[in-house]
Amino acid sequence: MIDIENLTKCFGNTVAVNNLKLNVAKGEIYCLLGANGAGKTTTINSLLNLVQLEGGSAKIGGMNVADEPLKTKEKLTYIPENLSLYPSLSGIENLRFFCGLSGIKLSDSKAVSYLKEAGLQVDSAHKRVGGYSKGMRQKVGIALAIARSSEVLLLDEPTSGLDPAASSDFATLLTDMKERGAAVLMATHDLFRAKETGTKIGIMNRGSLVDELNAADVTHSDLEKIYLNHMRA
Amino acid sequence: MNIYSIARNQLTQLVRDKVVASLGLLILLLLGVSIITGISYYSEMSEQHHQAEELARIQWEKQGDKNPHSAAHYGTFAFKPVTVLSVFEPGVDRYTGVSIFLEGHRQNFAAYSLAEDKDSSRRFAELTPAFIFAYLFPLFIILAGYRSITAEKESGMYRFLKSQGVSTGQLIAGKTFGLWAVILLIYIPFLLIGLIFLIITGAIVDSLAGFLFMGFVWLLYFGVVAHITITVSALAKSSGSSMVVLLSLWILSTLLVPRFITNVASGVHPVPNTSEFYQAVRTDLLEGIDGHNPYSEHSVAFRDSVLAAHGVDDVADLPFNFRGMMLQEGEEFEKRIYDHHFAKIDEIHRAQNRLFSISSFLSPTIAARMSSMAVAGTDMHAFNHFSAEAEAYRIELVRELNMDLKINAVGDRAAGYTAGADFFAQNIAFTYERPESVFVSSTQLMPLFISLLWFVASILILAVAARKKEEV
Repeated sequence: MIDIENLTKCFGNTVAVNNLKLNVAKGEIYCLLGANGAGKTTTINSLLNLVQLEGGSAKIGGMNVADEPLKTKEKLTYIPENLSLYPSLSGIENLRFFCGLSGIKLSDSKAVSYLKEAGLQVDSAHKRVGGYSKGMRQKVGIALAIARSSEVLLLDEPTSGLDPAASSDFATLLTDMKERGAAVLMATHDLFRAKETGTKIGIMNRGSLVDELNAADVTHSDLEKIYLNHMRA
Repeated sequence: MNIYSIARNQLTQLVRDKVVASLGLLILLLLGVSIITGISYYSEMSEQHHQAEELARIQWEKQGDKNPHSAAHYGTFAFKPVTVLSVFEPGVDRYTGVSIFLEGHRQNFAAYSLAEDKDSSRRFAELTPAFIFAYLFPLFIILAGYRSITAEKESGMYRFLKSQGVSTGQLIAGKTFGLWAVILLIYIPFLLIGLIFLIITGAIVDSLAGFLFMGFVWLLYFGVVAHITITVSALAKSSGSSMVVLLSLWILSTLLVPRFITNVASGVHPVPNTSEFYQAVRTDLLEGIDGHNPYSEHSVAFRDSVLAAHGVDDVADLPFNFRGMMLQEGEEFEKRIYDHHFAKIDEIHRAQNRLFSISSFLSPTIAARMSSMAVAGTDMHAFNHFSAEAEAYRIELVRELNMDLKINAVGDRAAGYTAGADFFAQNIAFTYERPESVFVSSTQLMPLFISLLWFVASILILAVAARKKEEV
């Protein structure tokens, strides 16, 4: 579902992503690990067609994101590290607005049901987002993915700063999305969550994908050792 | 669909923004107060104008038996009617004076400007819809819109929206329409109140076109401010820098450029002061006939030419009153001199106005204000039109008086001739009619044309900002 072939992106003289090759199939959660500046966010930006590539291609559902930016965006939902949303609007209003951008008209009750499905309390759904915690905002993001029936989820450090319970809730939601057949690409620093939630784990260092593992094949401690070895190399 | 959703979202956010909502309500309150004081001012001035006009006519008709030429010296007044639209745009009316004293031999400047009035309610009346629209409303638009795009970038929402397939153009268009919606939320109630006022005062038929035209002019101006605000917000690196740039532009357009152009206009095209003006007139008057001085070189020459033409040796033998004829001859000579000097003043004002019109290219505020005043009939052109009409009336009235003297003060009736109340009651009265077309000269059209240019240009720069590709 997500196909990245020989992707290269430079910022000036700095190579942010170097000849990256990566695939995420339907029903798969691909966790992209790496230090700050490893190229994880640039990879996601490439899939969002927010940057112009120096080489290679990024495809979603077989379509090149540069050639079909709108069609590919219809298939995906992106959740950044800090999903700010519009603070003066309620969770329901935010969800209705973002669905409206995709041409989906939601009734209030339908919006509530999606938010509920994403784990948000009904009374919270009616409150303005300005008072939401980060975890609650991420749930609105997931509700958006559910409402839009997104086939692809691009997540950039979604659990960073979440408390363990919220992080666990979020992982459960991702698993639900995976079971619905979504292809999930998640950039993260969280080795534990990557091992627990992911089906595949990629390790990036200085713009290159230096390792790729099946999450089921490694233990937590093995993953940590492998990761640290790559970072120290 | 995206543009509509973004516009609606922008409107909801702005309405819920306590600062924007409070300022919007404050603007509405100020507009309400300005309309109420404007209406009160208009009613008061209309009443005063009506009373003064009636009183002047009664005084004219009841001045008693009098030599008609003495009546010319007694004089009367011409009053400039207050237009209904001056409630919204008083223009230069408060500074040019509202009446002109009309007398024989002399063309006077208008007097009794309201700016000289020290009454506090008059000063309060300076808070007019035009002032609010020209100076305060743009500030409100800037405050409502300066963060439109920068806030989306600062919060990361810009990236999120782009990930949803929203293009920069759609975002900018949506934000622009959202800002327009907020502007209309305040402006439409004002227009409705204005229309109700026109209906109540019975001025709807005569003033509707002007009012709608004025409304259109201000709408163009708000559009320019809104488009520039969104453009700056789209191009600025931060909300802070967007605010600084926009406030600087506001200061330039509303304060600095108009003041600078005023100074340049009075420097390049200086208007002589009153004493200089009348001194120059007096000097020129010495070069022609003085109706009151039968012994001057010009008067003697004129008398001799009239006597020769009628084949008599003495003015007493003429079939008409020679004094009446000479007074009229003097009047016509004086008219030519005054016309010449007032034409020079008029030309200076025209040159200054041309400069102001051209300076509209530098400031949309000047363009909007000049167009608005022209439509309301409260600009210098309207005042000059009134002055010209008043002067034409003066000449006609004095001619009527002198002709009566010339025709009737003959023979036995020549000595101590007087006209009575019947004659003065029959004298023409001054009734001022505004020019029918809203705009009366090409100079007045230029600011409107420039307003349109500003509007189109502001859309173009908005479009350029929308097409700017950037990596986020």
